[in-house]
Amino acid sequence: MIGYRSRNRRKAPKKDSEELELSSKTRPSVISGNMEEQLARIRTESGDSPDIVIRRLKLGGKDNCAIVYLNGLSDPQMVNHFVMESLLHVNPDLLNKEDPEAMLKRIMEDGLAMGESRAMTEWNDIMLAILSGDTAILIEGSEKAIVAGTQGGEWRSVTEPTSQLVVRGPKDSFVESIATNISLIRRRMKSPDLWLETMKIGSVTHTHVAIMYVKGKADPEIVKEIKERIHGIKIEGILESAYIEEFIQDKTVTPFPTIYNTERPDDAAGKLLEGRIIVLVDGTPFVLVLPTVFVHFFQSPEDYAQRFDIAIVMRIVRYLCFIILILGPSVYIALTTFHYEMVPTLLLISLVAQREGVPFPAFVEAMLMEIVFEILREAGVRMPRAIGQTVSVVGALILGQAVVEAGLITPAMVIVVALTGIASFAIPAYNLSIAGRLIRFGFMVLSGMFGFYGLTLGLIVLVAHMNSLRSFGEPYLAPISPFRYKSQKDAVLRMPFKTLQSATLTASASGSGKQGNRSSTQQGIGAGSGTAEQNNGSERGDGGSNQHAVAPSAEGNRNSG
Amino acid sequence: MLKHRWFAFLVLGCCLAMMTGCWDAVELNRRAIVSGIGIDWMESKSQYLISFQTVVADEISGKAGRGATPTSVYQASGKTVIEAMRNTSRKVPRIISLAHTGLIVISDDVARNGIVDLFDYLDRDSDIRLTAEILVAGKGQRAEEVVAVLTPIGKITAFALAQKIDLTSRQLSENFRVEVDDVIRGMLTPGGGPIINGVIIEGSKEGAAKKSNLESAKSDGLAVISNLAVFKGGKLKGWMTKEESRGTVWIRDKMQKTPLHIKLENGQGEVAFDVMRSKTRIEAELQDPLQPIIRIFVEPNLSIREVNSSIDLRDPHTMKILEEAVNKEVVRILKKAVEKSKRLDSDILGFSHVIERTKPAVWRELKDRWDVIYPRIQVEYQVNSVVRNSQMRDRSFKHDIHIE
Repeated sequence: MIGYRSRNRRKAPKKDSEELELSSKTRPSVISGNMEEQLARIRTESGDSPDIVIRRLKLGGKDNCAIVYLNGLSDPQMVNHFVMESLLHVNPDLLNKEDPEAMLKRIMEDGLAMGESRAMTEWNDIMLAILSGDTAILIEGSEKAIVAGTQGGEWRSVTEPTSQLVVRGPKDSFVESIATNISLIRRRMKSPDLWLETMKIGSVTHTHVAIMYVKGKADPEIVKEIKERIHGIKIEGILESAYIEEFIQDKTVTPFPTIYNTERPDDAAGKLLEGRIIVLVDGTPFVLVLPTVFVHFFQSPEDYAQRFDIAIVMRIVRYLCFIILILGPSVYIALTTFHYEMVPTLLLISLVAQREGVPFPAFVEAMLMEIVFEILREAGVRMPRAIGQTVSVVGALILGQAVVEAGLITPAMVIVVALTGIASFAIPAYNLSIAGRLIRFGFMVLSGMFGFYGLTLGLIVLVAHMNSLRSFGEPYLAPISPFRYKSQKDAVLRMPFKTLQSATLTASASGSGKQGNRSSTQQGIGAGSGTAEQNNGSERGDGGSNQHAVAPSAEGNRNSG
Repeated sequence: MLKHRWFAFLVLGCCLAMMTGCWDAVELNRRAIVSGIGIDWMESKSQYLISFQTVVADEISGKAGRGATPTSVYQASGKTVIEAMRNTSRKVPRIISLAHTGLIVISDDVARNGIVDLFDYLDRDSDIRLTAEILVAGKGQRAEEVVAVLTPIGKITAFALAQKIDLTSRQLSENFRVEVDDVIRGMLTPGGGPIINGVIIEGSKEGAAKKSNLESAKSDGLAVISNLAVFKGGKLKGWMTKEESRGTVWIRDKMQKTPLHIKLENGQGEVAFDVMRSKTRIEAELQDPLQPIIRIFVEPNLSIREVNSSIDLRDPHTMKILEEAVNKEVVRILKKAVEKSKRLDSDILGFSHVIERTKPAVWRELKDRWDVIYPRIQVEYQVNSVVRNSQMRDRSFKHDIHIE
């Protein structure tokens, strides 16, 4: 077990499992021929939920058939037109003469105008299918049930992305439906090499998780490793891809995101072409990309829609912004309190004049302003949109101006804080910008205590830490460290497509050359820290194949009912 | 285990902050930024009198100005510079911060007593930059007075003076930038010494230090860059004249722009030239080791700026005549500088370096007798001037007047 969020939650599933075991003893795992008994069981297990619709039908004049579906999750059009109508149009004379098993076979073969329908015997599978929106057809006397694929229901339609905007480029984004998301990628890559594997994670939610990769480009070792780690996840529910991210990442003690996420299909498809693997989770528009390197967080799909020279400049600006974000206030503190000799003379005089009568030392000043800025941002993010405007006006204009006029903070500090704030928004990846904001405070303390000396030491530690990070065996700072000349063309720079074709920043470029090394690096990380538990998890998953992993979760479902 | 380790690191980190404190952190409003330093000699106490020109920041920028002077001078005396500096702490509420010092003025009498000890401090100090400009206050003037001058343009006098040196060396080329390291290098020249720009106060010394100096259109007193001061070793030997200064700059190959005034033969009038750029090369001929010959080659490029004559500038022959006249004039200026340095027996022109570079073996023999040889050294001049342009006109409209 990798661990739950709180101790309270850790106890709950144990209780459940005890109950589950009890109930599983009393109740058979396969369905019986008694239809009424089955229907009653569905009712009791679902707590007689009104959205589970049970509709009895008379085939051949007898009261011998029932269809069960979940209202809202199944497509009513399909249930009405293809299931009910087809059933009612089966020749009743033929049905009359046959025993239930033959009848079921006939319905499967002749009666259902459905693309997806299968006969099932396992109670759990049937129940899960109903809960996923499929329609179950039960027939009196038959020990099988037909499950017709009628999944549907309402989803948010494909809209413009909200977090990764571009001026030029595709305007669609992933939605909460995994099927739609897969189709968005499939539509971009019409290749049989694009492989898809799905699994269900979460003992209660049974969330669909899919991994996609391009066969022949993606490193099979990494694919295997990802599957193992995902199967190792033990949790009640997966509600966002971040849950998966947290479970499968290599190292947990770091502010840096080691798994990239995107809500743009074109971005995901681009990463697939690089030989990376994407993980889609049902119910969230954010798709994980593995393995991830640091430079990914500075790449925007926009880069490929603009001229390469302009794209290079834009990327460099983003790196500059990251440096400003983490070092801006700390450099200012170090300069004004330790190294006044480094400030140009006239600027220094202006700064001295501003500092006249300001009560706080520069470090306290910077801390105050940065905290105020964080409060404003947090307030702005959570605000209802109608009030959001007020926050920015009150915060940025009134507070900023008043604080300067009251002589509490120097205007230069307000400029520095505002600059770092704006710089943090220029980084395309939100999770990296949060990491940068966090690191910034550490650097502020260091420079407040030791000036540039502390800042330099901090930077050394930071770079060493970033070098120690791995994302599924890929060094986090690749291709800068270790330096790979061929991968430079689409790392910090974005060279023209002509040159890109020969050498992209491929995940397998690192893997294929030294696949032998990969497993050893993995072990190395595991032995290091943090991931020891995870490795255990994946070892456990190691033994079981895909089906094995699904089976226990299916048991859980049955028992919970 | 892991948790405990992190906790330990956290505690140690906090201890680090508590125990060491904030190293040498000084907030900006606890600093007095010094823009210029004046060094005088107090005969009565036989101590240095150091004057710090400090910047009153909120008078220069910021809203909180009280209409006071932009700079204020604090003085203290001491046997050494550091002692004097520490003594100011009784007078100044803030830390005297020297890192932005742009100018160091040495009074004439300190310079005559020797500046070697002074420059050890300037060289050693971690705050003062080696790029600080050095000036010597003219005879009878005190460094404290120069530092106290207020100038209308350029609120901080020290920086304004540094800018004046920079400007005049580009426009007039009778001075050139002399910084701390240049002086030290000059003092290390065998038989020679540094040349340092002079500064004098024109007008009233008392008035120059008052705020009223900023309020009248004609300033009561103004700090002005003057001619070069010649040192031998670390001691001031004498002052150059305007022409000698120019010749020195020329031989040291620092010539950028300078006006030349040529009087033509046979009463043909006068022509004013501007040197646009110039290249100087010094060679040494060492046939006879005891009688080295120094050859100075100068190639100035000129532009004709004023023609008070009726000569025909379209005639190539005229150009030849003009160039030859310029050559003579330049040689005359160069000679003056060389004669002055010979008279003061200070190899400020760097001839010793030329000899050493040409033949190190010969230099080793000469070295000990250089002081004797230098005043009698033979110097040859070869000036090859070229008139490059005559600005917007070739011959003057005055030429046509004369024809009629």
